[in-house]
Amino acid sequence: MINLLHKSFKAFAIYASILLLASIPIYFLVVDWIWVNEIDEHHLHVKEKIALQLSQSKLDAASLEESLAFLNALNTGIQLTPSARNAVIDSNFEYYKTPQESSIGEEERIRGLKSTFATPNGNFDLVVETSFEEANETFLFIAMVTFFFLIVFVLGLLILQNKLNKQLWQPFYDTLHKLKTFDLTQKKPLAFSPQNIIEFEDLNQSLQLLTQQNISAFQQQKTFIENASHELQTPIALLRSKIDLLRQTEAPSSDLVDAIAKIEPLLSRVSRINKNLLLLAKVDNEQFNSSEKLELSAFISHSLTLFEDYIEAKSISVKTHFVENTSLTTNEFLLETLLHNLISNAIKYSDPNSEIQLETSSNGFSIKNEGHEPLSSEEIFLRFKRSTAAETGSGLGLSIVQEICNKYHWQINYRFENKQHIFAINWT
Amino acid sequence: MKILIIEDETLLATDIEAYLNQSEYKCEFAPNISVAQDKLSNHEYDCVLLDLMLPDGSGLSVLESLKAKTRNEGIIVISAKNSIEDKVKCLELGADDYLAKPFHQAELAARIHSVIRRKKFSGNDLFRFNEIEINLQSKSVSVANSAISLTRKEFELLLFLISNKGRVLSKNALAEHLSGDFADMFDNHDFVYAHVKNLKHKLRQHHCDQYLKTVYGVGYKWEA
Repeated sequence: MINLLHKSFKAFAIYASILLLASIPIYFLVVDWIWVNEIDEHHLHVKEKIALQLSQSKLDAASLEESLAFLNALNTGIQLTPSARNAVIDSNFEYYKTPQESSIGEEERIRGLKSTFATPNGNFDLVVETSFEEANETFLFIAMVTFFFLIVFVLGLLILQNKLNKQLWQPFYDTLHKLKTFDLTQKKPLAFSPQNIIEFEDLNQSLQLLTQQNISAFQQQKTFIENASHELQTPIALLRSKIDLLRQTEAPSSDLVDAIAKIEPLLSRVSRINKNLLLLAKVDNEQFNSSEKLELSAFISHSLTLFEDYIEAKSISVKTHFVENTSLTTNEFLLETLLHNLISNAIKYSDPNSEIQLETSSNGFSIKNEGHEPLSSEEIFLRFKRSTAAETGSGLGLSIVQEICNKYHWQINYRFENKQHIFAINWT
Repeated sequence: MKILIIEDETLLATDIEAYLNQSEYKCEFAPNISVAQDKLSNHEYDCVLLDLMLPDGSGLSVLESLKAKTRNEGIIVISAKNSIEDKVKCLELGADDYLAKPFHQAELAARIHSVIRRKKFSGNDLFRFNEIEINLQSKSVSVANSAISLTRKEFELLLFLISNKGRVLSKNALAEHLSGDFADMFDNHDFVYAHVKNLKHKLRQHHCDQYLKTVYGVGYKWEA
């Protein structure tokens, strides 16, 4: 995985390198061509000037010969000698002088013009030679300059990238950050500050709409669950009262006794599931928004008293370790519900004669009960995910616990250590 | 004793009537607020059972008007809404008790019994059943003037059974009465049997008649 900005930078850098490297031979060919052309043109000028001067010269043959000898001895790159041949078309030539042949002791690239022309003073042979830059040197200089600019370009690109692009993409990263912190249960749609870049504004508005729709779908689902379970309350109440009346039958047949005994726990379970669904849908409702300072250890003790019969029936020993002053500000009903669910679970899934430990600390509490195998910590809080085949329970107890923790931003963790199931809640 | 059941679900209202001991209680019905107000302005009742969600409005208005008239009826709110705020509001408006649906008929009968006892015999904490005398204030029990020492749960159980005399009570109903609403989270209510056994034993020791009967497979019954 690579960063978006890094990716665009890489593409730019590769493109620039290819382009600049490919330009080196082209520059070279162009520069060399210009050189050669210019030199050839210059040689022609020289030839024409000499031809003109010779045509107008009033020198006699002897002094002309003397002058030519003097000129050729100067070694200016021009060799002018009288010729017996007829005038021919000019020809250009090129050759390299080895360092030994060169007057300056280095390899030299020579371009020359060879011409035989006619004047009123007779025909002449002319050779004009000019030393100029060797091809490999031209190539080297162009390559060096190009490399220099390539480096300057890439460095510049890097700096611009960091400054300009980061600035340019900042709104995108801001949006990404906000999206990461989005929590459906908080029921707050994402809010963005207005952008003057069309794409970002478009993205933000789409996200805002999407989160709003999500929240309303989530809300509708909750309302549906609430309404559905509310509608079920009355028929369940009626069923229960019918069973209560049926139980009053004088001298019931064994079939009836059997049927009642089987219906009763099922009805209890339906009733509990329905109550829990209703609660689950309502946990973050306004009706549970009132809160007061409550003493946690007192609530735990109350819960243990309430369930003492079930604890005694399994001969479970309960060890409590309370630190002083564990007050927290929360809703009484929700705290009670949370503790009842956790404690009743621990009792229900404990073996007879085992031990349950309850501990409070200044910022949380934990409950431990003995077990044989760890539960799946990913699935444990899911609705209707029951860890055992036990037919009681609503399958919603821990979901409710989690929902209550979510409401107050408490951390709830499950772990299995030393053959103990441990549920720990932390608030800060 | 006259009871007014204000409840739009007539099936539930007639079940309540059917469960309550008819020689002791006389039930009348009101399916909505206007009928209820009508009946309340013409008659006096010992106890009013009030559903909060009625077709023509909230039962809270009945509570308010009863409170304004300083009537003497015991009022038990039976509501499908199980929230502390509702409960607190009802109790503040003068309700004597609050019971969330769905409930065991036995639980409702015990609450009615208790409310009427408080209203009718206020100041008198003694409550008798044949040779058994129960002091509600000190939570003590005596049989033919000899005191029995009962645990808190045994005391609750005795009172619950007597309030439902002649009715068969399920183990679940007893468990929920003793351990509260969350009892239905457990599948095993065997502890009820232990309490019943102990209570029976203590009563027998004091030569009390054997009123407490086990109805095999169905539950327990206090024979009147």
